[in-house]
Amino acid sequence: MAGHRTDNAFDIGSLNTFADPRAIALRSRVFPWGDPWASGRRASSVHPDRLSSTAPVGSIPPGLRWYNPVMVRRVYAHNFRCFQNTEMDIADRRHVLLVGRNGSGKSSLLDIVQSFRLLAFGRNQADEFLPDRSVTALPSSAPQPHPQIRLEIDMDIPQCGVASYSLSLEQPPAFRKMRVAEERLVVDGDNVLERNLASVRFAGADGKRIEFSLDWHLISVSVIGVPTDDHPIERFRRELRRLVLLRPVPSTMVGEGGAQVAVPDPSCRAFGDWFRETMNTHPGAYEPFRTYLKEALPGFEAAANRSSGLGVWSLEYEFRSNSGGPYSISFGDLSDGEKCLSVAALTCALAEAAPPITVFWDEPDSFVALPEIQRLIVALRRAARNDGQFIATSHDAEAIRAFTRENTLILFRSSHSEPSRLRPANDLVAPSDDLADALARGDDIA
Amino acid sequence: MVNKHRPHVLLLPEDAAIKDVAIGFLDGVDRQLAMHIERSAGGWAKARDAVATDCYRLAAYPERRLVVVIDFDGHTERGSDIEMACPAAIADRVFVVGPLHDIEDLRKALQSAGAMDGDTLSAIGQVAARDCREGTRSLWSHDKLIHNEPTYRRLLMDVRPILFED
Repeated sequence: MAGHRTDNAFDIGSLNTFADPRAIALRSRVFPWGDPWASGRRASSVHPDRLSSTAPVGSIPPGLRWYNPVMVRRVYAHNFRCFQNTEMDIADRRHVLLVGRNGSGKSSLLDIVQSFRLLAFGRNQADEFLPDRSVTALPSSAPQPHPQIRLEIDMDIPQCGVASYSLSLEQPPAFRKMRVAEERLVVDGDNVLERNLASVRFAGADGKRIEFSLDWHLISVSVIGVPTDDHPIERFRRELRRLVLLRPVPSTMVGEGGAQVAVPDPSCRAFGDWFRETMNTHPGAYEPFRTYLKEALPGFEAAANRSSGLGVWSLEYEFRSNSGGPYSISFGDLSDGEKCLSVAALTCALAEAAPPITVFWDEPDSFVALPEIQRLIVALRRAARNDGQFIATSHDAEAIRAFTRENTLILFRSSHSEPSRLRPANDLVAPSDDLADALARGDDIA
Repeated sequence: MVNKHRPHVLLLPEDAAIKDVAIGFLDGVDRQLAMHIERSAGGWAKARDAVATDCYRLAAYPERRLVVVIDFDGHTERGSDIEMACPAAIADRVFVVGPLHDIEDLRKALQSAGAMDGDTLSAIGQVAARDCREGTRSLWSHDKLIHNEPTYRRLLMDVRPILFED
């Protein structure tokens, strides 16, 4: 059976190593219609469906159907950290706040979405899909030979419908690494991809089903080549790539760099690169970025890129002193709070220049001074106005009060041996009660 | 954080339910940074006391407006009670509005009348903001809100230019 080998543990980027015999063997499974690199061309240029005059499966003429452009509708997790059969249903919620005690799983939800997102950037090994400490430590209610982690995400795909993707991973006792047990992608009701261990069924063009075997350590939605850019799998991956997931670590954020970073990693380490790429791609983002920082940082005048030579750039902020004289500060020398406000400014600017975007920010109030919190939350809520979505987690009373209770979800677990559950704050708190006060008091609201 | 030296609006909600309406209103405002939602007071009497205690801050910042949103619980005189809690010199910068009874009662009435999209509290605020922007009374002319008419006229004159672009 294919997939039991472990010696082909290279990422999709290695597929470009055309002469590598391991790559050739893997490509024969990933691209069952023929090795696209055999002729030195990209996968999408040689797929036989591309030669067909009819549209591929899932390609819907623009205007026939329309859905809310960008939105994470649902996340489901089973046997993942503190989650067992836990669902976050946020369909049709433009703004969502997740609150709960430490260890209730708020940040883990972002980790799940981030893992899905990395699939779209080529992370394809089942063993690398999840962050450390992912397998639940919770006692199981039913005997299990080995726990199977199941994660699901439902997302809107513009002009295509709702994409529902599920992935089950397991590590049988004799195995050194995780393998894929099941995988499925349904777009607008059509089964685009079905997978059981190594056996993959995939919808090509004209409804043609293609079956092939794939190393069961590889996640197929990450490695499958598709005939056209508007194939549902590619659309799904494109929307995953567009998710803006934030958990800034200001001490690691730098303004120097020379890489193209369209969307940052959650830590925002390469902030300078993200800034430059955003401004290059969407020049209209600069003015809202500057306007936000002029309000938030006293004396701020402009942001500037300085060439450090050899394709390396450095981000600097220009300020005006009280005496009127200009001076510059390297981005790396800003305070932690100023760096986080910069992340907020760039996120809001991106939402304005290139809507819609979905933002999931783990504790946006961290490092930010109290008077700035409501402004920051309001700005991010505003950023989601153009058919986007803003999801946040928070412990901060000011941030909690900036969300309506109808858009606030409470994560709770009665003990560390119990799985976390999610419920709308509306169900748990009396209409006139202040949720932040109730949480601060430690009221038994769950 | 609002800029206290520029025209700005503080909104004091009576309770958490009215705060949700206020958040919906804020979503519909053009100049969101000119508005700040205060912590809910915890009842109309506490809102009155808060106005009485903090009115010196209103006097200190001439560009500040204070909008207090309460449930009238059938007692329309509560509005003047709150306005009289602060000195006459700044009373023209205090605005008290709210549903004739309570916010849940208003929500049900608006929902059955089909006066708003959705059935959430924030949806009430969004319709109220749309009215303020356009100077209309699709919401404010409702039986349960019509008692606010004199205050609403003052809001359109004094607060609307702060929060909405022409």
